[in-house]
Order: sequence, then structure tokens, then C-alpha cells
Amino acid sequence: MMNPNPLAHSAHAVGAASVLCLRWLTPQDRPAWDVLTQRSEASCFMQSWAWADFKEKEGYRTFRYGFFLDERLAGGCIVYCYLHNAQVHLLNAVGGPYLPQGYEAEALSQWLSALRVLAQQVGAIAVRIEPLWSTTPPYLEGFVRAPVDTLPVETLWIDLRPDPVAILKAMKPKGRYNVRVSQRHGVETRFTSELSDLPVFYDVFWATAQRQQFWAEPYGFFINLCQTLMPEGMAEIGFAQRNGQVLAAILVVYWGKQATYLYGGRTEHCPSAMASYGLHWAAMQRAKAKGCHSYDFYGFSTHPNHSYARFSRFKQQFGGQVVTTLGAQDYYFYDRLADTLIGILTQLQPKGATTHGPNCN
Amino acid sequence: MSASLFVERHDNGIAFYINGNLQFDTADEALYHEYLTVPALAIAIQRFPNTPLRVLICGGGDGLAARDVLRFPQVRDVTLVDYDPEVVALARTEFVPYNQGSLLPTPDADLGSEQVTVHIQEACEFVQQLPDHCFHVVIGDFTCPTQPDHTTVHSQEWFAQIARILVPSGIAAFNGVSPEKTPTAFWCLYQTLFAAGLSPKPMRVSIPSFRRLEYGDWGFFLAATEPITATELVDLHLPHSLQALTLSKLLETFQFPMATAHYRHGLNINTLACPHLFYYLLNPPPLRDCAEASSEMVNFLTLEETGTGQQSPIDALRIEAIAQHWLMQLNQGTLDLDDSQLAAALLPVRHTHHVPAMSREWLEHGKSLIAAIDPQQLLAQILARSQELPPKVSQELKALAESLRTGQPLTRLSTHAAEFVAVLTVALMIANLATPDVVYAKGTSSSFHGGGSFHGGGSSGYYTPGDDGSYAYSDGSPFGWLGFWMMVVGGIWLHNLYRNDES
Repeated sequence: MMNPNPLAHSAHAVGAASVLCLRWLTPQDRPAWDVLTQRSEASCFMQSWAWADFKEKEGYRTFRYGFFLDERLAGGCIVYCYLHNAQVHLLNAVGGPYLPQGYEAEALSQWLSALRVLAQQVGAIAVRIEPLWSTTPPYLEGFVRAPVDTLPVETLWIDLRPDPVAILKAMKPKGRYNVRVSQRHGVETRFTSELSDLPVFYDVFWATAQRQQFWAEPYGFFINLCQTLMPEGMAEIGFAQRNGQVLAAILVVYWGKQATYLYGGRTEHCPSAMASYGLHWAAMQRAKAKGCHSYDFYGFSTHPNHSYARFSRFKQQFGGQVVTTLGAQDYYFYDRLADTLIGILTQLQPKGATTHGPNCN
Repeated sequence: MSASLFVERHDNGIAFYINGNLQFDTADEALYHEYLTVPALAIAIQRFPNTPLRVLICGGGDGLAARDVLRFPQVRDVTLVDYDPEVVALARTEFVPYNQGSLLPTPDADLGSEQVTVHIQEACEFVQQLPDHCFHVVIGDFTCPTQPDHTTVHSQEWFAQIARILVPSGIAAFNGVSPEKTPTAFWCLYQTLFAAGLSPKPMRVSIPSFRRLEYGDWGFFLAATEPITATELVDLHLPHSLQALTLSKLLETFQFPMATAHYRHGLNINTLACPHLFYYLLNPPPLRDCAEASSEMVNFLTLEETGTGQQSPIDALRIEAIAQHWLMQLNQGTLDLDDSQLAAALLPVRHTHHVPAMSREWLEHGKSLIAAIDPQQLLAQILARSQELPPKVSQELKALAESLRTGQPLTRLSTHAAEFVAVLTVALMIANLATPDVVYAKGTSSSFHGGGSFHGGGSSGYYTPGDDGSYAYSDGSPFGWLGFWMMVVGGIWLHNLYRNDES
């Protein structure tokens, strides 16, 4: 993380008395930042202080911005950038920004100005934002849809606020039935934040990735994730097992009022026991007990050709509400992109090709 | 960034990971450490009879290599330098049952640790301060590089320092990489050792815990300024108390399948300025089908050869190098679709979390990436600085900007305009692919199977090179995997812009 360094951006909002100021967040701001991101309607765990620490372990640099209204933290964004030796980078604001209510346009403008400076310093050509907004606000000018989304744009939330009987009742009949099947088969669940359980989780996850043919993050990623988030109480691994044999495993992240099923898988043992149903049902009850209002299945699609289609058929048995967000948006710094291209084009010209002289037009 | 350490406990021992990569599993670590240390010590004892030996271990903070060095009564003192105090702390606590207290600063240790001096420091800094010819044996026991700067301790400059501090005829032994899974990286090290004035003998060992994690056979190097001969090796006297290593097994380790060994020529060496090792590690040649692979072996025990490594002026992972490959393909007009090395040059893997197939998947996003760019804005920014460009490039980009502005038909792209589109595509691709998480994205703006096809939607037009160096637009035929993809994308981009202007 960059050293705290006040940014020279402050302005009075039109018609408002408060002064909007943008500056780096310091470790002292962490409690206020975490509260702000937990309470936001667009809350995302990838904007938590701990997640940023995890990404730093992964080799990212983080740039933690805060918007202050009369010295009160009112918004901000943690920006991630993976610096490498190719000289062309992206700034990534996964799950952000959080713009102060009533000051959105001014805050965004200030922030983009600050990011332009940062882009110059780190050699970035664009910033990619991924706020969990359901609609595109009018002040989001100059942004274009990004080719990929780090966060799913469509996901499935289970409302945990009703009592367990009502949550079960809201499931599809097949989901409810399979939860009971797992119970009849004697599937037991346990949740842990012990690092020593990570190898078992990863074996299940890896085997699932191989079987289902999706790219799996490496073991080191999970070591860093669990070493950072588990001591903060932000992550747990859940196992479904029968007769001591692990049948399914999930990794759940807790942030604010939400529990997110981030990773998981199942073994090929005893599929008739419907262990995954029992495990997610247990995870929902556990999240509810922790005070969560929703359980996010983290990715969903009803479209049969979507890459999530197979997983979504399973998830939809739990009922829930489909939530759609606007997806990742790119904002290009054309001066930086031009700078990069000029640098390359100039270097690639055959020796002997000259640039214009200083007085040529 | 500090290293991430993880000790995994199992019923009969532990496995130790740094940054998610297995360093040792107590079930078979003896294999690794005995092959790394014992042959070098045994040769040194032959070369320096009746001489108390001075040994330097670079890396190896877990104390396991030190344990095996201390087996030899001829060793007078051991100097160990490791940059990570946390690893050394583990060596002095959790790892003691396995390293027999080799790094414990107390006389209570099983091994005579008063012989061992530990320095917590970067090995490069430490070695640079050493006088010439001060160690009989140097052991390099570093983690496999996961970032370009990790290759410093595998560079020509580093090995030259090792050659400098070795007494004449002294022996060095280095942990390598997998000759099976990353053969070009392994032989890059081989050539780099030659380039540093050392004469290497490559070794290949199968370590079950490494194989289980699909690391493949593991490689080591014995090296010396005075070449190590087959006679020396067949006459070695090994200690009796070894767990894994025998003389006959040692002699077998110098045998390499031709399918692997043939990669050793025509490679760039690894230097501080150009860390080619990292490129080779991330972009290995495709593994050959076992059925196709020849059973012919090359025996490096008896083979005497000199280095053939090349010194490349540019890091293959830098954007200029990648753009250069794209422009070469653009100008050649042909492409060998089965040439994986060419594919790697065009869109190299640049992060240890990625594999080549991930990069290739990303080609599908090129169309949407480039479609998001506003060419008028971009060209305006570039042309505002046209004095920095060669005049011909500047003129052609001005003409392109004018065509776009006036909506003229773009039936021909000039050479430099086509190069501009190609370089833009490369820059956008690299910026995205350099972010490790991007390949694990939880969706795309069109997350449908085949939805990102190069042929879907928009235009089916493409550009082909003409005799005059320009690129003529035509309609129709489908394209192969990467066949002139950049021109397709560029063509679609410009063509759509033109159509939009028309509409």
C-alpha cells in the first residue's frame, strides 16, 4: 500500500455546505472503512481492508482512497494493480467505488482525476470499476462495458431473514427433498477456520475443477486467502462428510450482512447422499446465526448456454432471488494509452527511421 | 512482498510450502537434499584431499541441506545465507526433528551446529561482499521463481559471482527446475551456467511428492570452473548413512531423454537485464505424447560440450518484444498454427497462476476490448504528439484519422495503420492478461459458450496483406485459431466504425 499521502482534491458540492475531500486511507481509517463497506447497499467483501491485505500477499499493490465529507469518511475505493514488467497495466476497482450519497458526480470526477495521476505513476491505461449497482447512473460518463467481470453480474441470493422453516419452504421441492435426503443418509457438516483443514478442502476443490473443467486457483492462493481472512473471522471452510469421509466442501466469506459461497466442490463418493444440499443448508443456517441477511450463491444464469448453466441448475433448487448488477466498466486514460502506443511504435521502427526534428510540423 | 509460508501436517510428518509451492515433504525430502548436496561434497573431498572444507549454502533456510552437508567430517565450517528470517525461525523450531537442529545456535543440537553461521540477508548482496576463492563448495537451494526478480539468483551475473568465490576446482551444486515440465527453462539454466564460466553437469531426479503435485522430474546441476569428469563421478565415495542416494543411482541421473535434451540449444541465457528464465518457466514447449517420444537417451555423464546460449537484448515478456512478434506475423502473411512457441511469443503467459490455454481463451475477448476504444480520441491524443513518431507513421495515422472523421471507405489499411491496430490490440491484451485474477473472472460481458467467437456478430470482413505492404479488405472466409486474428479484429473494428458512420 502506498504511504499515506494527502491528495490535493477537495471541493464544495454545488448547493451543499460540506466539503468533499479525497485522500489515502490510513490504517487508522480501517474500522470506519470496514463499517462503511459493510453497511453499503452495494457491499462487497473485495473492498474490505482484509481482502486488500490478502491481495497484497498475492503480489498486488493496493491504493486505498477515502472520500471525506467534513472529515467524516463517506465513501472511497480500494484499487488493485498488479505491476509487472510489460509496462502496461490496469487499475482494478473490484466491488467499488463507494460514492458519497448526494455527491456522486463530484466524487467520481475527483477520483478519476486522482486515478489519472496514479495511472501516470504506475503505467496504467485504464481503470476497471465493478460497483454492485443494479442500474447505470447518469454520472457514469466515459465508461465502456469491460470484456470480463471479476464479480458475477448475475447471482442468486437466499433471504436468510425468515425463520428456517420459511426458508426451507421457499426452496424448490427438489431442493427441500434433497436436503432431507442428505440428512437421511447421515451426512454431517462441520465448519472450521483452522488452516490445517485447508489441504482437504483444496483436494476436493481441485478434483471438482478437473472434473468440471474450470480453471482453479492454485493452492498458494487459498493459503494466502485463509491465512489472511480466517483470523479476521471473514472466512470459513465447511465440510459435508459421512462416516468420516469428506463428500463435499465449501469456502464461505462473511462480510456485513452477507455470506458468500465463494468456492466449493464435491467428491465422487456417494452422490446419492446429496451432501452438497445438506452442506449449503447448514451454511445458510450458520450464516443466519452470525447475523447475515442473505446467502449469495455467487454466480447464476438461467440461460442454457451460459458457462454457469450446470451450476445454476443446482443452485436454483434453493429458491432465492436473482440479483443483477451492471457489470465491470472500463474508463480509458487516452493520454496514457497514446503514450504507451507511441513508445512501442517508436521503438519498433527500423533503425535509421527518424522522428520529426524539433522545428518540424 | 513477504513470502507466504505454510506448514501442512500429515500423519507421518509435514510438508512445507512457500507461496503455495512445495519446498519439501518429510516423506521424501532426503531424495532432494541428498542429490543436491552429497555429490558436490563428495567431489570436493576428492579434489581437496586432507583439506578442511568451507561450504556456503545460499537459500536453504529450512536447514535440511545444512544437515546433509554436516554429514561430512571433512567440512570445517558452513555459512548459510537466507533472506527470510521466518523460514530460519521454522528451521530452529518446527523443522528440528527433520534437520536435526542443523541451524540451532546451541550446542544441544544433534549436529555440530557451532560449525554453522547463519546470515539473514539477500544472497546476492552477501556474495558480492565476499573475497575471491573463499569456498570449496557452494550450494544454491532457492525456491523456484514465481516473479521475474526471483530469477536474479539464477542469472549469469549471479553464477559468475559463484565462480569467483569458489576456490579453483571448487564445486557448486544448484537446485534447478523441472527438465520434464519446463525443459527450456531447465536448459536455459544449463546454458547460463556455461555463459558464467562454469561447466555444468545436469541431473534429473524423480521425487514422489513433487510428481504428485505434477511438478515433474526435478533437475539439479553440478558445476565447476574445472569441468567435472565421468572418471571423478564413477570413483566417488559416498557416506554410508544416506537414505536415498547410491552411486549407481547417481550415475543414472545424468541420463536425459533426447525428447527433453534436444531443447538445450538455441536458447537465450538468463541475465539481470533479460530474465528469460521466467519466460521459459511460464511458456514451456508442449509436452510430447509418450507414445511419440523417442526412447533415445543422452548421457551427460560422458558428454562434454560447451555452451551455445545466446544473449538476447530484450526481455521476451516486454510489450515491445511481443508487439514485434505480432508485426512480424502481420507482415509475413502466414502463420503456423501448430507452432506453440510462436503462440507463446504472440501472447506469452506472464504469471505463474496462468497456463497457455488461458491466454488463448483471452483472444476471444480481443474483439470487445478493441471495440471499446474510441479511435477518434486515441488518434487525437497520438497525433497531438506526432513529432515523437517517425514521419511515415505520423502521416499514415493522420490519413487514418481523416478517413475515420470523414467516413471514407476503409478498403485499404496502410502498413503503419495496420501496425497501429496490431500494437493497440497487443497493449489491450497485455494490460488485461497481466492481472492474475482476470482468467478466473466469474463471467464475461458475453459469458456464453462460443459467444466470444471471432466470427460471431458484426462483420465477417478481414484484411490480407498486399504486395505494396498495405492490407486489402475482403469479405468472407472463416479463420483459423490465430490466423491473422489481429487483422480480423482490427478489420472488424474499423469496418464497424465505418458502418456506424454510414448509418
